[in-house]
Amino acid sequence: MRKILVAEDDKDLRDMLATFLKAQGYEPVPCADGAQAWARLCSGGAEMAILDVNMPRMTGLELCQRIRTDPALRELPVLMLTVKKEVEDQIEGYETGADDYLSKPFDFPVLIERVRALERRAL
Amino acid sequence: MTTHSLSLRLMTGDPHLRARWNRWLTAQGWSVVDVPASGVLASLPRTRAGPVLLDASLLKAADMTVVRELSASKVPVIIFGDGTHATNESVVRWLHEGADDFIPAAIQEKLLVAKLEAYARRILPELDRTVLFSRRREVKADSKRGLAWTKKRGHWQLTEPLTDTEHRILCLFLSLPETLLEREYILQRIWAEKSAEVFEATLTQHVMSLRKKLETHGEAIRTVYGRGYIFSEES
Repeated sequence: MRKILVAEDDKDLRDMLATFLKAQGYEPVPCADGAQAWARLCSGGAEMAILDVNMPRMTGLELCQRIRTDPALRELPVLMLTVKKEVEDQIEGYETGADDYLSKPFDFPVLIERVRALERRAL
Repeated sequence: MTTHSLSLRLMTGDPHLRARWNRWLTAQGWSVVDVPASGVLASLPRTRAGPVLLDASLLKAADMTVVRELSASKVPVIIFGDGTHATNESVVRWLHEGADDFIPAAIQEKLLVAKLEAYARRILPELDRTVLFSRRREVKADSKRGLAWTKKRGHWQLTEPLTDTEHRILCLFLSLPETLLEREYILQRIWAEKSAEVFEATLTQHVMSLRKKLETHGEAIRTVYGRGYIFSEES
């Protein structure tokens, strides 16, 4: 079962994501902020990360930047979630190293297909 | 501009879109190959192959087998279409059938390039290029290409060219913001085994020059006397 780190500060959405991923056969690793997510990633185990852009303590973009500059984590597939629809924000996300981007609100079936697509090309 | 050995295959029946994307993507360093019809899909090369952009309106049911095969060979397949193809149901169906992405045909070209480069990084790890941003996203540096930008009136502008050492120091600051970097640590990270032969005054000189090239943003590089530097945009 593949472990997916889910970093999302909105508890309701985090719980929904975890429940949905679990129902799809994944093992979610929920985290409430970027710093907690970083600590979990450093302790190993996650094979993909779903990161909210706006989080307390460390934003999703900062976290993605750390992942991409860490030799042990740099290959980790990263899907960013954001309420921002501005093109420049999305471009910054890709430049920081995100593999894919999904704007909130999103449909869970779209999310899961994007996760699978990312799995196909990255794992 | 990124230039690499990957070519991008484009299949569309829209001559205006073909011309526009071709012009834009070529200017960004991509080599674009026209795929004249869906029947040709099956013969596309699969090794170290760049992304394939397919117009949803030209895809026939039989093509989805080829899409699955391309995807299984790790050739990214991006389907694009207008509003009629962009419903959640259609997107789920395309992705489920093996496509990597669905994008609207009206996508801004800059965003399209950013997406394509994300795919390219996965195909050719040697292309790996991560842009490091400062916390306030006022300074950024391309960790592989030796370039840096600062924000001026809301727009990114290239800085005066940085030397290799200045660029590496900037990347170190951006990757460890709000952190005291001791001089000894910086010397070790930048000059590695030669660090013992480098005078501290040399580091001071590089930092001074870097500050100058970052103009007002250079103030973020703060000296902690007797210890080292902190990159902080906090006032």
